[in-house]
Amino acid sequence: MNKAATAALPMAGIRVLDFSWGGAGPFATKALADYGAEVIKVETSTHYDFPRTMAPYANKEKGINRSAYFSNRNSSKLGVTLNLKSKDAVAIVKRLVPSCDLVVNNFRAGVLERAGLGYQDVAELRPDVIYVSMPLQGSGGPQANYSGVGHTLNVLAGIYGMTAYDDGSVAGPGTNFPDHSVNPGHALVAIMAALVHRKRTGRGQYIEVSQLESTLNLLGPSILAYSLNRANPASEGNTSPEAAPYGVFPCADGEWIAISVSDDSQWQALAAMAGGEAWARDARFAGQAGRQAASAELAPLVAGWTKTRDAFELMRALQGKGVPAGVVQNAKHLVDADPQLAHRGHFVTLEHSEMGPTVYNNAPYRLSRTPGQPRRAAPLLGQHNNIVFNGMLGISEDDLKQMEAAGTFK
Amino acid sequence: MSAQGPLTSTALRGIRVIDLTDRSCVYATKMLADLGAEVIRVEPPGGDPMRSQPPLDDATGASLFHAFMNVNKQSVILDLENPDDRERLRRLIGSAQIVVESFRPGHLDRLGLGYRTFEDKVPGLVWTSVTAFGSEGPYAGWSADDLVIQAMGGLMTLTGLPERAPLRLFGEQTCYIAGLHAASGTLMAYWHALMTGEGQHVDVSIQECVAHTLENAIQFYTAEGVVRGRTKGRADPGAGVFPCSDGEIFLMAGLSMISSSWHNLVALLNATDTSGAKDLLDPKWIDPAWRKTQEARDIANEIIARFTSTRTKNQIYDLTQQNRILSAPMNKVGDLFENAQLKFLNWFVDQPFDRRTATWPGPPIRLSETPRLSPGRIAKAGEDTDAIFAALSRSAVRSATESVA
Repeated sequence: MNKAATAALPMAGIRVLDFSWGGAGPFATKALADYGAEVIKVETSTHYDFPRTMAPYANKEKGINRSAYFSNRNSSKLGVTLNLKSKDAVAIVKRLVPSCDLVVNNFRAGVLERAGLGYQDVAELRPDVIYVSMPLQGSGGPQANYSGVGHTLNVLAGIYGMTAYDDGSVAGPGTNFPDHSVNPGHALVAIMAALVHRKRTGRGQYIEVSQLESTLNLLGPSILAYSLNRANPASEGNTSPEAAPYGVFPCADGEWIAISVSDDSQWQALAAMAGGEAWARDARFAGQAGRQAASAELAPLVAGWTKTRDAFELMRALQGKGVPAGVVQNAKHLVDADPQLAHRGHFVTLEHSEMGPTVYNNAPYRLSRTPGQPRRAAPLLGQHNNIVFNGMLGISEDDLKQMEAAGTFK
Repeated sequence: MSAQGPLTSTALRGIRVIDLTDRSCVYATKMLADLGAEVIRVEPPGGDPMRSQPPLDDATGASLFHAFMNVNKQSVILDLENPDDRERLRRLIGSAQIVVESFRPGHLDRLGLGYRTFEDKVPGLVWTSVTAFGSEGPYAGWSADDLVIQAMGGLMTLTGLPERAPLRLFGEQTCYIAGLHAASGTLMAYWHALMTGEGQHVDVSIQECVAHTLENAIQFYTAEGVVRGRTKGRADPGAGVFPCSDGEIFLMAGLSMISSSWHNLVALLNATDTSGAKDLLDPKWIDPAWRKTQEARDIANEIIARFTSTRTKNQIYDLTQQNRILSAPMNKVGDLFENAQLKFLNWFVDQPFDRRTATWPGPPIRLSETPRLSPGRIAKAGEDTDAIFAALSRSAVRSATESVA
């Protein structure tokens, strides 16, 4: 159905000056880079992007160019080092700015302004620039300077407290959840909308993605519900008011399977497979209302049936009959054994000069004519200084050497 | 700032989007609507099943999930089993720049309403299909909801207590994850159409969106051979959840991540004369071997709890943050309305709702020139059917007249 890819990558021709660090910002600019934008990632050799010092490392050997956490978030980017405390370094940034469509940062409010690189400064050099800031909690206010990471955002926004078993035991997300799709995703949508606006009007703009405000939209329906009903949501855990049986059920070899039965035809398919079980023939469970009312009774009965079965065989059997079911997969399952992700080419292996072959996540959307994907391994620290400063800006090698000696690129 | 064109009030004004999504990814079209696109939601006769999806307004039974996801959209009712309505949908899509749909792969093709029907007829059309596993491949026909896709995408194995079952993240999170990736891919394709005139198909797999949301779990396996699972809290002294007089505070003040947080915490405990805090100045507290022991955790956590339990969670939040200690109050939804920062920013938005006032979340993103739309109308099922098709007929007559002239 899809025509073969016929065109250059969609973001080709867009240049991004990327000061973003850590988890969330770099994932937004990775998507732009993988889809063709020229993303120039700016670090300093004394304050480099801190995931460079976070596990996992290629073959478990530490090194600032060996973190697979860092590399996955920075595919297809160019890497330069500039010490923004040096006047020469700021001057270089200002020479780059006129050619940049986007400037992205997630510093605390005021950091780039103090270096003379705030939105107003940059817009004087490039009037239609799109300038993106991703502060934790906005640029003003009593808590604007409070610090945090994805885990503290989980807690502050309420996702942690709401992610609980149905007996009320709170577990929270097991990751810095908003860093991985939600905050980068909101930033990326804002960037794309601003590019469309610029194309149609010639105008750039300033975008602020407060990571707290972004994360809180994930609770939009619950916020509305609290405002009208004055009640916090109940701890649902792995239960649903709309489906039964519903939840995760133990299988052989320590695996788990998620099953969600929300109508009678799905129930009949499940019951036919479990035909030897008394519960599968129990008339009380024949209708959705009866199953819902007895969901707490039904769950252990289904678990008794699943626990000796192979999770993957059971999943295929249930899906074959139209019952929503899926194994609780871990990274090994996903990378080594998931035929669907393999079919889609989700995992892309690129050769990295220090790490060797390294696995990157592809973007989860495929554009039929212009399919982007990780094109280049993540940059070594300062790997592209010469290409950018000499090649793009035309600064002579002699001048670069003098600046190097003066600490411009530290 | 140079003005080379007319001012627009929203970024996506004038872009018509046909919305055929369900609860699995409807956040995609919500984003487009809030950015000003003209999103027309197509509902079946009797209305969208999402209109009964919890949470509900206790007084009216209205779905607040539906309200949040579909505010600022228009609504038409079309019966896709009826040939006349299928023809009306074809005309509607002919007037659009973007279609976002989440039917099972092949379903719209069987109705003569798939992308292939339109790709050569509607110039520049962007057609986004969001499905559980993708449009093609061995699992393409499989069914999944939020629970099953959290499992299959790898998120659930990371969530929950290690001695208990894997746990679903609260609140239909895969709708947001998939919606944001789908909106991003759609806008990249629309950008390409704007630059070149070429439309295309955007194929989004929700499972793949989730697999993209696993932090470092994929790379822990591929780089180090370590399979991440559910872990027990934070083992390092100073990290974890501590009791307050009115709830709990979350501290990330171990030595292992940002070491200054631990030292700042010890200083704060001493400055507040917390009983036992002097002991934490002993050099053994920077010895990783000691810190790993249960005894160390018990001692430290008891001292920290003495400090935290005498004050409210927001007092501890302020005190710790002002002393450069990573922290957050353990909030439930109701606590957010009292958050001092959100109040200062005037972030929440009050709007009339059934003769009462509903409080909506403020914007997730702030665009200085093209702010997102505030929550406005929530269309009743089919409320805009007549007006939209009447306008389509008028423009068809107009273009026919123009082509004759």
